[in-house]
Amino acid sequence: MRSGLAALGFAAACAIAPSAAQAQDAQVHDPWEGFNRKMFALNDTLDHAIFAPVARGYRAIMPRPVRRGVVNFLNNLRSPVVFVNDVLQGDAHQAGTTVARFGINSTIGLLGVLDPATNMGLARRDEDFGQTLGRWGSHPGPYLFLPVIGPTNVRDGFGSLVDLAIDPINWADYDGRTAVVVGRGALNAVSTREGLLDANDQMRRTSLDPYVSVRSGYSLLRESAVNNGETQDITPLQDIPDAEPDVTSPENVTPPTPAPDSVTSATPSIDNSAAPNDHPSLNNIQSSSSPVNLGVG
Amino acid sequence: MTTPSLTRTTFLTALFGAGMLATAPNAFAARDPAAETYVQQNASQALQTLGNRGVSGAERRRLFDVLMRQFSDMDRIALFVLGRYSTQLRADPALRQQWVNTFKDYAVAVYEDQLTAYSGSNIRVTGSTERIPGRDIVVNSEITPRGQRPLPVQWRLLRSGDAWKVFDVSLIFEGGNQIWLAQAQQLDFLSQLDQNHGDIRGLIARVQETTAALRQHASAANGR
Repeated sequence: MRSGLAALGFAAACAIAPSAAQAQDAQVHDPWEGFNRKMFALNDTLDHAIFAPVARGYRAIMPRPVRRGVVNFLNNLRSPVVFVNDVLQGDAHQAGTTVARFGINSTIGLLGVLDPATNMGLARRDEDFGQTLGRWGSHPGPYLFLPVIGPTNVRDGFGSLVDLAIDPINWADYDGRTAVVVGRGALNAVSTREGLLDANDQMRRTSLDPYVSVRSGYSLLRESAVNNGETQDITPLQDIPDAEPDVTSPENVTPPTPAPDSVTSATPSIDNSAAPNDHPSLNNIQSSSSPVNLGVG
Repeated sequence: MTTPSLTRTTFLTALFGAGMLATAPNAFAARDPAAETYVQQNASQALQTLGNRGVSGAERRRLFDVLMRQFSDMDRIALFVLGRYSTQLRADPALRQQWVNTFKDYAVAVYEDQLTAYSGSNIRVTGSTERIPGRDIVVNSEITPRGQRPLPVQWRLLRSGDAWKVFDVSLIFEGGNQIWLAQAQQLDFLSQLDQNHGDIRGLIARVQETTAALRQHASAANGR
């Protein structure tokens, strides 16, 4: 126990101390790349053999609305953890939203299977202790990839352990707790992997190096999560180079770019009456109750 | 005996209050109707083009290619994604030309691969926020595939000459977090260049391989 606490303390210290590399360069700090790439390859093997086939089977058996209901249910179960982190971040407004969402979805939403709160304007925002540490000024620390768990970093890995400790499902005294904890973990893993099937396939087609793309995607998403999706992380205009005038290609020489109105001939009708059942695959990347996991596949 | 009633009242009041606070609009965002129209028209056209089964696969790709090169500021993105390594191109116009053309081909192939899933979807621009008036703006939109929930997408437009051009696109995930694609691409390319000692010709070869594989996949998917 004592050594476990010491390890946690060390992890937190690593996360809070900014590295020299991060101070000079916006690239992801990955001093354990050799180890991480081996774990990434191992994860690939496991994924091809087990995780992806199970996820495809789950998709084949379960209709989309049911899968959506599972995601909603798992998200709702995580609300106490989100609420604690809202409070720790000093965000009373979002804490209120989380409480309201939990109350509405647990009652009108049939134990969280439905998500009427979103339709009432109470958008879900996920929070975890890794984000809380980020809000408190902690840097991510070294990047880490672990089989099954996927991409993380020292700060977020430590945060996940704290979230496990916060979650009442893991420590409350009730019958069948072990079965509930294990069952939720398994359902969460399958649901998360199913949500990533298309995005993962697409990433593998377009990426020069999937290990790097997963690392980049994870890091940017976590940075955005710490900033609560606001645009502090957008590249400042002064850091974007102007296109140099002597870069000429045939399409730049003739003809010149048409005026915006001449580019299109028609704007299709806007139909928002479609049933709001599910997002495309890319949107499922963060739809589970676990931290972002882009590493499967 | 009144405690339960008070508790319920307090709870419901808190719930209502929290909901009202959470839905309060931001009244201070400046909008740019011209930029919003530009995104609405061109993004609609791109999605329509990818969903147009009335032309051959090759013609569809040609039309999409032309549109994306007009809609996006490809020259600027091509330099941006190389980060600090873009300085090498100043001394070598031929290499710069080769890189820009290679990147354009790759970017259009990636756009096509990613947007095909949304072909025929509706897009609705929901607003915009000026970052620097007349020069830098973020346009908000929702793409709604049939039978699914709207997917929020942001477009960063920079002024290029007399026109707006798309510089970056952000996918906003459930939970409110987002990835700006040009930033992600820059991280990927910088990693490649760090590994190969800044050899842009080596990167060009890798990008061309990936583009060829993407084209092959698209042709196979179209069955022609």
